[in-house]
Amino acid sequence: MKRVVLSILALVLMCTPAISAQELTGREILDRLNFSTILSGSGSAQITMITENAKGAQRSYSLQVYVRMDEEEGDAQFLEYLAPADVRGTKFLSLRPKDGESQMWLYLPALGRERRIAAHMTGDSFMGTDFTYDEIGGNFGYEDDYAAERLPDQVEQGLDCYVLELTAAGPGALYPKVRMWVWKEEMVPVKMEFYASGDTLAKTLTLSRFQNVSGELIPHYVVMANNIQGTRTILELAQVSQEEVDPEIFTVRNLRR
Amino acid sequence: MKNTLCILAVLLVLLWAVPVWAAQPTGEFYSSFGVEWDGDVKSAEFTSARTGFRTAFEESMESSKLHFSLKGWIDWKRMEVSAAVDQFWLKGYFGDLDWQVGKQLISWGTADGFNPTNYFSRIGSDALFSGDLRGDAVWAGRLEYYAPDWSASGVVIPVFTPQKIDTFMREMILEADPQGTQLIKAVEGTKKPGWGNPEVALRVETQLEGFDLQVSYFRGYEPLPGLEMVLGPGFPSLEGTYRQQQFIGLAVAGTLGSVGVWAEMAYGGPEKFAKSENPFEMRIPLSINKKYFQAVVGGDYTLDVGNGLLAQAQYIYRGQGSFLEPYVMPKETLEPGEIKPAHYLYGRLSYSFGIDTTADLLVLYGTVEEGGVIRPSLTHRLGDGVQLELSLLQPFGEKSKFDSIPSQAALTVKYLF
Repeated sequence: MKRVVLSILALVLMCTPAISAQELTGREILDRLNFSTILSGSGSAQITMITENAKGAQRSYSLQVYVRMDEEEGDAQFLEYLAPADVRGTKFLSLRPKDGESQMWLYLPALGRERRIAAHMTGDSFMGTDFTYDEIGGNFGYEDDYAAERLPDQVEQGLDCYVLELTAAGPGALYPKVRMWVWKEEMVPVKMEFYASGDTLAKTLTLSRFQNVSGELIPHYVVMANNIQGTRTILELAQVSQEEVDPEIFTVRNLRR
Repeated sequence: MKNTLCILAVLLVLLWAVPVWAAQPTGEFYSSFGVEWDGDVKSAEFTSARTGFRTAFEESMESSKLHFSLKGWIDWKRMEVSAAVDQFWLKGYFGDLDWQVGKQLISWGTADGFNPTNYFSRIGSDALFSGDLRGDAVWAGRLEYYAPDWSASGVVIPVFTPQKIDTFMREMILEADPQGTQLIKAVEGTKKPGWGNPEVALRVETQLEGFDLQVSYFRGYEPLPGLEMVLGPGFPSLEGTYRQQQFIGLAVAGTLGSVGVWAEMAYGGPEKFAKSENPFEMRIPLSINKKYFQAVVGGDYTLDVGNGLLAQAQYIYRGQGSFLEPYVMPKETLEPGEIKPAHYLYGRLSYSFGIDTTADLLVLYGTVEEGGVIRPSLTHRLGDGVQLELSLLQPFGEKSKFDSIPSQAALTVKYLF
């Protein structure tokens, strides 16, 4: 789930041809996912986000999301809440330059200005959802922060999948262990499990309803389940566009507009 | 009151019916009920029952945006009505320039609530104690230039708007001084600068080592008038003047490891009171009569507790003295009273119990006041658009000047659309 949700576009912009070699190692499969290729994408989408508590009560949000993945300029995400009314107009900007630290701003309409989001927030829940700021901002680093081991293949969502076990190996790893199911035919992740310390399953991410958008395979239904708290966040994508996003979108100036 | 209500109703109906607004109106309706009690008297009093609204109409065009919003309330207990234009502005974008004219919210600075460099949209103590950090909109023109690595903003306020003496400040002034009524009368009777006396400000922003940096300059007027006690052949009187003042400011925000940090400071102040040319008259300043320094330093951190407990702390320094006691009466020797710099600690804890419920705790402590206030609140969303807030405001400190604020609880039901 390298760039989950808001970066959904980014997350699954992988159309790497299917790999027939059964002897691929975990690292090779991870490399075939080619995160750098994913990050080179750019696009926008309107997302319906549904949060669900442990009792099954749901709350729905509507968001407009813009993503830029660029090897030279770095990555950027911009999102704006369109509904419901109590969060309408709240905007979030995340910039991850190629060299340098990530920077995040949150614009609160009631305050009339933006606020810097501290680095410590990046491990915390984003706006009460099951996604962390890192996950919503797409600030992952699987290729740098995890060692990959291949496990026996499995069928997930009716799809033949490679199974990888990623073990934290770098300071940027958010979880000690991550398990990833990769659809062999398309080399896209369809499920991921995130383990907390003590080998406790903390979160499960499932990606489905893949659709081809401008030649890219994009999941239109994403669910993040918090296995400890029993909550879920569901993302449904609509109006997905792979068109290049104006760089002006990813600016503090745009937050203020 | 009937006339005001009628005008308000007609205005709302007209606005909602006007087809020029392609977008749906947004806003909120709310009803709140307040109870106050005094620890000594041990009796509670039902003090307010207010129904209010805020509604906004916004139209986005290709390179511009038009906004109009109204706000108002009716206090059924006090039988008072208030209605006003909240904001009314047009903004546009042209190349590297953004401009905005009209009644608008201008929010400068990096700190929360106490912003020495936010020279325009002032936050009253009412708002501060209610947890609402939204400032008041002002009639202004704004021009912003955005270069790749920096930006500059210029603001002109053609007609100065003084700060309102809100309920809390009124109570504090009345409590702090036997002549509180005269002070308020003098403040409200002071002639404000009109047309031809604009306020101007300039801000330059950039990034330095990953920190947002803002440098600003302001030239305008005191938010509350400078007051003098005039002693002459007749009875002593209080006279007020809105003195021109200038400030330079600096604001910074960024992160230090896992902690979000910000700082804001400003130096400046009003012009000194003019010396009296009347040999039979003695004028004693009740307001600060020199340049001063004010600063805020704060940080926040999310503790790994449950869903994450947001802890925020700010230290506030006010060289101009207590923000609840803007005037100091003369000493018995007829020398100006001493205005002590005021130090405050402002803390906030916030925790979300899942999707629907959020708890907040605000604490403000002042050294000059030798006490403070604490405000716990709980917000619960009942369904889409409907939320319930229960809050408590409690002063603390044995000899606290905040004691004049009664303990109070409020229940607010809000519908947002």
